Amino acid sequence: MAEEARSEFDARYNPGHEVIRVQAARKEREVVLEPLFWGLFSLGGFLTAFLLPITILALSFFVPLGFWPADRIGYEWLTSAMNPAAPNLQGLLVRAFFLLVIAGGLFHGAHRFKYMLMEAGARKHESGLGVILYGLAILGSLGALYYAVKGWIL
Amino acid sequence: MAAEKQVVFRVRRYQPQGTKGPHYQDYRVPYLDDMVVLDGLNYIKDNLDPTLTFRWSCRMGICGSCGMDVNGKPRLTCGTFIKDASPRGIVQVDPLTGFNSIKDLVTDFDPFMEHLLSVKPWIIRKKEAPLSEGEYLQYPEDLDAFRQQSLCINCTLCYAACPVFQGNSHFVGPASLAMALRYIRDTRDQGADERLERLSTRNGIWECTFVGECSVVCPKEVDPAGAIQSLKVLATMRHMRKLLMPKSASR
Amino acid sequence: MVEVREAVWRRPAGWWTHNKDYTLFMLREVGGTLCAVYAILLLGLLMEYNAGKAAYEGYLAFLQTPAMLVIQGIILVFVVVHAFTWFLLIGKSQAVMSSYRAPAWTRIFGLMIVVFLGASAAVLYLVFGGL
Repeated sequence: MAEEARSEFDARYNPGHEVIRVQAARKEREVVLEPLFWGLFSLGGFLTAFLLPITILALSFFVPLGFWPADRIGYEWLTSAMNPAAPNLQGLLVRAFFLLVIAGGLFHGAHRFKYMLMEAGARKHESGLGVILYGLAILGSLGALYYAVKGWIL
Repeated sequence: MAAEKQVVFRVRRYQPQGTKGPHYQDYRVPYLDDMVVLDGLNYIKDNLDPTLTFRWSCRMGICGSCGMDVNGKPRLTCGTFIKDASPRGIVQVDPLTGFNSIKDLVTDFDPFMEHLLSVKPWIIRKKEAPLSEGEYLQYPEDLDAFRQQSLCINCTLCYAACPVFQGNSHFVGPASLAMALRYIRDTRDQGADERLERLSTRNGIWECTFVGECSVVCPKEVDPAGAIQSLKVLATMRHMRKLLMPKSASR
Repeated sequence: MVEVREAVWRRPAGWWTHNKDYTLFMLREVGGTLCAVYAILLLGLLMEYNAGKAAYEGYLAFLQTPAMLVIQGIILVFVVVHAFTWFLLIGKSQAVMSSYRAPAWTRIFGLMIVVFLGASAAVLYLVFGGL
């Protein structure tokens, strides 16, 4: 009885020269889309880290804080800022700015939110969550693209 | 007689052959300023309680055996001074988080061993050069490319620190991925494509959410978090190459 | 027969409250998600702009309502924390792409701050027409 018990313990914890089963034997499927969305998430994070704070301050807080009068960011301002005929390509740069910040923020947030939901227990639904969240990000980015080129190409 | 400084070691005990689950036991340990937590545990085993079980070996921070949670933080107990680890006079010692414990402070790190082996931590050559060609030459800059990751002592403190691994033990984990990068970056190795294909999976690099705690606790400054980020970049670039130019050779 | 059982480890639900770094990480995650929320608000801005002057100015007034200001304030705080913890992280765990000795994390952090201020100034003058 004792020998049997000891040998079971030994087999479990003292394998000696027995080779440890390698997880490599179980091959996992390589992901196809994840690197792409990670790349967009990474880029989006990079852009939003630098460009979002000042945008939020300028659009939402400079007026109530008294830095600017309300018409400073009014309709006329945005029209002239996005004017494609403005010198030094300024109009095009402003349009690109909006596109990058919106698309970057959407893909960054979608990726993070997906991981937050997975950490909270929804691991099984990863592909479904991906379809919904990345799908929304793609739709939003296409919308931003549309508004970025409207009045210029369209 | 000079008053001895004393501290309380609150140690997590667990007997596998018993009905009692894990519980804490307190020991009064006298100490000097140059004693480390491992010295305290050995004092307990030698003088107070010979049944206390824990792993240790070199006691100088190179073997990686004595990793434990000291006051909730994964540390090498041979490198943690008692005087620094005893706020309010208590040193709490737990087995490393993320792993099951076999007995007392001894963890079952079979998952780590499997993950480490799964990244094939050896030089992979498509074709071995014949002996007559002599050794593979490497310049100092070539060594610099992977030297940092080669310093890993497999102490698994990074696994204990990683909340992703704590929640999912199928995640390949920081140390193994750092080892993968060490071999991918080695100029003698030709297995980058093979490894990246295996790592670019759900439980491979993409499970990592860049918490960064692994690099904070690493006693050898291997920076596994940075290594995993590099792997993500490499895997993404390889993926793009495969999508856009499927006929081009690997790497 | 001797029964051998391991004490099984389970991650507790409040794991991210036990450690300052974990808590900061969770805040970074929330901040990342809030980026998307603000991106939606910006998209709304462009939509209303295209609907004409009245629609645009109505939307701006909506953004200035107390409730929206509070929400945007929260977003701003999270986005700034998100950016700064990311700058710290880049320094402490550097994605080293080529072989060289990594510079100290304080230098990288300092560099990121300079780039951040530069980018903010560029946006202020290029997009919003300066102070």
